[in-house]
Amino acid sequence: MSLVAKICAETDTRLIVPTGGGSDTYITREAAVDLVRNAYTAAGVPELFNEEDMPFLSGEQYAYTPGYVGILVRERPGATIMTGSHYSEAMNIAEMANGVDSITITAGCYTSNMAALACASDYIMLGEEQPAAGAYLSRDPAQMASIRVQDIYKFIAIGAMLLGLIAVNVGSDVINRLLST
Amino acid sequence: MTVLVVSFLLVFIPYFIPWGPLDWLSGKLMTIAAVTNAFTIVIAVYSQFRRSGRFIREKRKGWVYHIYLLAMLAIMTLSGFLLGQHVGAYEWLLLAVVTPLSSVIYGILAFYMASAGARAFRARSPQAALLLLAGFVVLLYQAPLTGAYFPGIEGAAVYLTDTFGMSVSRMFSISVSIGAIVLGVRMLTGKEVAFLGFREGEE
Amino acid sequence: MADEGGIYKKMATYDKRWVYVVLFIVVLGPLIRPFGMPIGISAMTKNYYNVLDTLEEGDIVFDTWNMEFSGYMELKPGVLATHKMFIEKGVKLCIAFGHYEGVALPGEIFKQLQTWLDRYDYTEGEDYIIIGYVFPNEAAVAALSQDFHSNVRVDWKGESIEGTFLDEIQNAGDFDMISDYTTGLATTHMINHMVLQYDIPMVENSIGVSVPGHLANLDAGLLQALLASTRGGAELEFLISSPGPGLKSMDAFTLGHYSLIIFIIIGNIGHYGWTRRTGARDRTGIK
Repeated sequence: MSLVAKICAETDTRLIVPTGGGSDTYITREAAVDLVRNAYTAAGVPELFNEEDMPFLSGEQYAYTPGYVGILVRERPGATIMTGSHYSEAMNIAEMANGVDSITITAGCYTSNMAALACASDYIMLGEEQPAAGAYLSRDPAQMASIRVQDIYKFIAIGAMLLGLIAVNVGSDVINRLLST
Repeated sequence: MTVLVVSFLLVFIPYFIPWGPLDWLSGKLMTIAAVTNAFTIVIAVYSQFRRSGRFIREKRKGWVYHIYLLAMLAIMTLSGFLLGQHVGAYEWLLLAVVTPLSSVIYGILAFYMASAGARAFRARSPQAALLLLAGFVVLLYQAPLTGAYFPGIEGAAVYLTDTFGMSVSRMFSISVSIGAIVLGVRMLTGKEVAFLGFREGEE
Repeated sequence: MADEGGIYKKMATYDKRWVYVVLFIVVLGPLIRPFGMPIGISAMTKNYYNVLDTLEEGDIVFDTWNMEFSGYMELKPGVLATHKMFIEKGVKLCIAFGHYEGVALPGEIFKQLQTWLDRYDYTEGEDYIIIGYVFPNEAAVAALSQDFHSNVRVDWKGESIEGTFLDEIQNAGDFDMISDYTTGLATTHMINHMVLQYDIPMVENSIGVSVPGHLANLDAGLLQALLASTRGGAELEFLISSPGPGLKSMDAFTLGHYSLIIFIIIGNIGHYGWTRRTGARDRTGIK
């Protein structure tokens, strides 16, 4: 989001950031406001930052959805970017964004919605592509190191799966028991 | 940061080493965390009152709806606290207003999914055609009538879901879990402090 | 068809509002006047039925309603059919909600089950206790699973649970089974803190979009059985010989799926004919 805010600040593009949709989002808005304000300040245009464009719609997804859709219909944005855990509101938002001819970019982490959002969105970042994109664009050493570590863990997991496959086929359940709780 | 690490250890260790006093302490800590977490709604309510108050004072576009919002917030809260959640106003508001409205938003999803599917399922390439074929088989199986007249379709659909579908969802589960572990380690080592409200360099 | 695309272009770029209209008609018609189409019973539902059948009278089941009222609309057939099995078997239920809208659910659900409650003399306080909205977040799930009575002392109406069948429950491991109805709320937390820690059998009634994710849990043995959405509930109603809202909606379910398949076929015929004719690619297909 900080990259998007930076680009919007540099190009004087209006950025609307509605927050909400879940019970864990009550404090997300404060973090989002800080992040966007810092990006505008760093770009040298703090006067362009408008906190009113960052409404907290609702902690309930079915109240959040019509609020978000209302913003889409009234403001008709050029692009709609959805990041984080979007539950059932994701389809509503993606379809309505398509209906107002807005480009839809989704970077969701709720796996059950991935298939539906892949149909409804113009561009989608699956699973880890979002943090990887953030690390790549920010070039932050800590974030890039995290992505690298995750890749190493994935290779370890693949190795464990292959070992388990071989073990099961030779009649041993040692890997299975090792990994079971 | 010390508090974070100690709290983490208090919850983490009893998972592997069951010991009465530690289990008790861990349980108490989680109860405290659960209650504290629930109070974040107070922040949301305060934030909403502040924002709506500004809209109403300055009579900006749509200020009437903010009065309605605050009024409904107050009515639901007061009726629940004062009258109880099983009687009268609160229950009526929940059953007659909130649940039909949320059911409508949920019901609209079916139409949106259908239009998204009809739009997206195009055989633009050989891979897309294969995916479309698999989608057809699963869609046909999902219609109960097909299973009644062509029982063999269950085998094909279940095969597709249990091999390709499950492997993909497992892949996502593994990568999300690994990501969560790495994020947790970063938090515990102090590399990720944004969630505590600090910026980098502050503590 | 001399112009670019012609009928093929129309087929490839139809207005999505036609999808809405047709879907509305094919779903509403059978709901008003059901045809009574046959349905097939899936292996997953048979497994769910068999697992519930292993319960005995007096077993204590942790019945978690991790659904909002809107999600309940999709899970209703499975919820009602499962509870009919519980009532018939005489198991004890400890009912907890994962969402504040759960407050509205007991009235709605037990109203539909009234005949069964009367037939088997199944009463609140004796056979089932509703402990209310106790799962606002993961920490609450973890706390309750470790020490039940420290976190729950009264039921949802404020009456003490002391002296009831819940006296036997010290932690989550003391339950004989977890029966979860979920739209994806606290289910993962329950698997992490209850199933993995105490190895309790858990059965799940899940909404359609979450089924592929839960299939992995089923395959791994974390779930004993999975009931998939409205269709699974309808199949369970058939298995227990108690037709209900699920079976009534299967005609609409079937026709809805078939109409979507027809729209996809129309779109693909149009897309193939149009692109072959014009060589053009349209990104979205329909407007």
